[in-house]
Amino acid sequence: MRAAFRFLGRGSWLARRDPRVPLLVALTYVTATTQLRDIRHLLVALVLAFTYYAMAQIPWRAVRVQWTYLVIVVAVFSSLNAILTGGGAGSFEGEETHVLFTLPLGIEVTAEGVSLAATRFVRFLGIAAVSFPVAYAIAPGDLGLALRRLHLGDRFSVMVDLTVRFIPTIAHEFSETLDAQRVRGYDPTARTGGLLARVRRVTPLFVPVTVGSLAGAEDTIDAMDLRGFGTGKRVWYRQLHMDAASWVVVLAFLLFLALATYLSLTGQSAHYLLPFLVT
Amino acid sequence: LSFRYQRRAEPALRDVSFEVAPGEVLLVAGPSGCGKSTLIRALNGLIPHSYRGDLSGTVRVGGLDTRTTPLRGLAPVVGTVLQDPTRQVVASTVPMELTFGPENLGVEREEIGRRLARVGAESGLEPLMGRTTDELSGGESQQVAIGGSLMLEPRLLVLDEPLANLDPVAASRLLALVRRLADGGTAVVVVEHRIEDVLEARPNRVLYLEDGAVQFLGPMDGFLASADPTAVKLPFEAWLGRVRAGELPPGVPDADRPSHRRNGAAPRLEWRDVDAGYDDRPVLHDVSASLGRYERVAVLGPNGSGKTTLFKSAIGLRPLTAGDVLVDGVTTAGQSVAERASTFGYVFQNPSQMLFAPTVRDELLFGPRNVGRATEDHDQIVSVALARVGLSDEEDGLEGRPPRTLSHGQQKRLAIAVALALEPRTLVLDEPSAGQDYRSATAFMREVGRIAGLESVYFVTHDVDLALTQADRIILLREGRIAADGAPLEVIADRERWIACNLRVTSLMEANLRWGAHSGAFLGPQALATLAAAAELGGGTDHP
Amino acid sequence: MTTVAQSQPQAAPSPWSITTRTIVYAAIGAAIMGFMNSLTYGIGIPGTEIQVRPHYGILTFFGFAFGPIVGFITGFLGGVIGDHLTGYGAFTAWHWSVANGLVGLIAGLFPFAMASRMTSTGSKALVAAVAGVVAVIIGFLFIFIELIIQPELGFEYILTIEYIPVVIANCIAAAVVTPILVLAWDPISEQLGR
Ligand SMILES: Nc1ncnc2c1ncn2[C@@H]1O[C@H](COP(=O)(O)OP(=O)(O)OP(=O)(O)O)[C@@H](O)[C@H]1O
Ligand SMILES: Nc1ncnc2c1ncn2[C@@H]1O[C@H](COP(=O)(O)OP(=O)(O)OP(=O)(O)O)[C@@H](O)[C@H]1O
Ligand SMILES: [Mg+2]
Ligand SMILES: [Mg+2]
Repeated sequence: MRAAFRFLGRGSWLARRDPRVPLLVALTYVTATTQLRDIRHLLVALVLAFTYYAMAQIPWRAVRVQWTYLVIVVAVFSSLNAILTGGGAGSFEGEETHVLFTLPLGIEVTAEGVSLAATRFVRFLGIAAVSFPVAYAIAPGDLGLALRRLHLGDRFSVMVDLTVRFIPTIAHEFSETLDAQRVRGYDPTARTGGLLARVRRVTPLFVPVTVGSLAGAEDTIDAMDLRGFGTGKRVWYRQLHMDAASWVVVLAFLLFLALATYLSLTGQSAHYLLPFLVT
Repeated sequence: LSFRYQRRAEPALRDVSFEVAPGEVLLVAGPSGCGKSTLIRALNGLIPHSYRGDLSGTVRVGGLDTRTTPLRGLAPVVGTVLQDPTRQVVASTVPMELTFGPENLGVEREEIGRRLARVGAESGLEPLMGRTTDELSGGESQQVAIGGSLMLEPRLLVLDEPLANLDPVAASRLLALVRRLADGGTAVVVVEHRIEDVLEARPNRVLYLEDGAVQFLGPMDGFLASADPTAVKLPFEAWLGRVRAGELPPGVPDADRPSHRRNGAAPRLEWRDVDAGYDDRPVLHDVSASLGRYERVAVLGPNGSGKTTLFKSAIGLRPLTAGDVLVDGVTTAGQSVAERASTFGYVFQNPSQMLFAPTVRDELLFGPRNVGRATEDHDQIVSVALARVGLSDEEDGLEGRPPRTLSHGQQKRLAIAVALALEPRTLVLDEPSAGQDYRSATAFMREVGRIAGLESVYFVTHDVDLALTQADRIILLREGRIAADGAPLEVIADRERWIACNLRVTSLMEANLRWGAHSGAFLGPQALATLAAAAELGGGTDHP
Repeated sequence: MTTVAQSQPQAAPSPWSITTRTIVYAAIGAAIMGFMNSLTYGIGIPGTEIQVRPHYGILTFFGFAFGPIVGFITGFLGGVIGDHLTGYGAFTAWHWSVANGLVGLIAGLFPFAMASRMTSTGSKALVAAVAGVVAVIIGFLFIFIELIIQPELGFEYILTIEYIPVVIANCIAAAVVTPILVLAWDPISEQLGR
């Protein structure tokens, strides 16, 4: 049950930069691409996202499973949109929609629908590419520090670090509880019984993990109170320094955000109908 | 000092008065629930700042009154290390855990840096500095937790049952650190049941609590002379002294040792060249052993040597990567975990982890209902299981109570009753003595041995004397391999191998090697003391 | 001698006060939701494509038992971590994580609004079920932000393909699991003694 933020990008160029970089890049990229509609703009954005992703040098075989899952899920959702939204409710001005073919249930698959789906697919792929380094290219423990240096407050930053600390503990307690219940003939995946019975069947797993962790939290709370947590001005020992390279990356993405906002506000990033679909 | 928790009728502390001088190690001992942890909360200010209740009397630490000084003011004066170190570590990396305290108190950066270097060197934390906290073992987590407290440069350090889940090597490293701190001028209060194991730190004085009140406060040797050895784990010399002085009735060796009777049948549990482990970590390497149907077997070995994995692989919770496991001579390949549960009752290292049902009764019936026991048997299953672990007579209405509101000791017994509810013929216990005081641990194991219908008991433990006195056979595990397998006296004969498995040579072992060698069995302290006293009267110490 | 308690076991005195207990409970909630979200496990509603994910009942429990702040962080951070661990990318579906957070937050407001009706553990469990269902219905309305960020989907699609199935599934999870957890937690929190 390996569930944790594994520092796969250890030693990479990006990992040596300031840990605030991946956070700022993800924030700006998501804000920018949400405004862009034109697939050509998004394709340019995708190139930018993947050059950035390459800086994290995350070993491919370690994330192969994640990427395949991601591509399948995003592809399925996007194609589902294409089929069901038809013309995309007026995303395209003027002419009527071009029907490519109709599915057995009379659902029309249109050129507009397909190009909308492609647009969404490219957007999501880019966002995923900038999201991976947030988890894999920030050294363990730096996430809380980076959030604090982004002025999100002492308590929130410590809390995020505490959450990352608890994930492997919760995963271990979950597998220990599952072992203990299996010895008593418990099978969480049993298909017998009605819907409500099957939902209730998770109780022997959920109660120990949830209530057990909460009962155990008393010691954590005492340990933090005893070391003066949340009782006044807090200093953070390690300092962060945005070196030139870090600034270059952040500024590049801020520039991209400004450009995207400009294009979107001036209406120059409308949905683009893929020409090869209609000729 | 007296204190009563808000929702409790009985006070947890009654009229406790004592002092701890700089450089002194005070040992606080006493049975479960006698108020040790409450005393510690009064010292570090959690009472009254975090725990509500009736507090009378005063506590002054480093000249500060804990009632009027906020926790922020007390933090640089009193450092506390709680019983479960993994819950005390809050940061993701070791350096961040160490700097957590000074950061909260706003200590400026250069000073934190200096302290980090000093504490890292003094408490031997250098090798751990690069580690993340989720990879640390129990012993390493405790070292980091202690470091975290020392970073605040306390004048008083308090440790609540620090030896609970440490193997002896980690334990003596901790006790050496405690003594070094005391010699350096820090006052240290250590709460611990196992008196003998703490002697290494040479405590100056002992405070013995019973039911919240001070029964003894004085030097260690005075305590050893007067304490009741059946209540607290004392060195063998204390037993010998009591028996010699006639203060204790002569002890008779356990008569009902079933050891080798009726063992002709096929072995209950057999590993044949077994390899097992976790996805990225092989643990057991080519393990072969066979445990008798009527035997009581103890498995000992350092932390992480694979003791838990050994039994998890036996009952099918961990897949075998090689070899085979046989139960009663039949291979278990293809058998489900539930099928094996009819033979083996398994009680986990953290017994309360599995408790989930709304009432004790439902908790006991969860297993039987899953394997399809008839409803008319249910009442009988519940009453028999509770009676076998001595829970039925404790208080009425226990059946209807939520399991997690029971005391720690009661939850442990309930976990065994839950295993017994499936009527297994063999019971597997992982660390039965963890978190229990000496008297209840030994009584507990003796009762388990006498449960009706139970043919054999296999248990994993760090408590050397418990293993040697309660088992017919000892298995030593080291780095996933069987290092030794035989009767207690045979296994302890090879001292180097014993120490290589991180095991301590206890005073009872020395005494058995000296006086008990001819009796053919490893004797408990009372029986051995009687033998030794008689031998002394007869002139020769090794009188046959 | 009145002793001022720094942290309360039950919901904080005012919904928005933050103590060490709030921080630790929020971290535990987010870790549990993050881990459970990464397990691709659901129970299909017969005759539909909808998969019920029982652990959403844990989200509404954390909100209901420990207040809106713990609820929001459990939902939001749990969503972000869950998406990362499954490989979907931490911020790919950021608006769904915000919706999860709102579900937790709304569930956390109920105990303050309906304190009078929660006399016994049983009544508390009932109110918890109602709180969970209402929180899911209102919280996931945030999904309609897609009308702004992905207008091409259209109201129809967002309502029938995204909103309704998720609300149905999570209402069932909340209604069944939240009361179970409240019934399990209530007696223990009484005993915490502070
Ligand atoms: N948080 C609490 N709220 C209410 N009562 C408590 C609390 N903690 C302990 N008590 C009660 O106070 C008494 C003393 O408990 P305490 O934990 O101090 O004993 P202990 O010697 O530390 O026990 P152990 O050896 O099992 O750790 C017990 O009756 C216990 O039930
Ligand atoms: N769930 C797990 N996932 C990965 N590794 C594990 C898991 N459980 C145990 N291990 C590793 O397997 C090795 C053996 O673990 P095991 O628990 O069998 O040792 P043990 O002898 O029981 O230790 P202890 O005395 O601390 O209980 C250890 O190095 C441990 O870190
Ligand atoms: Mg205690
Ligand atoms: Mg173990």
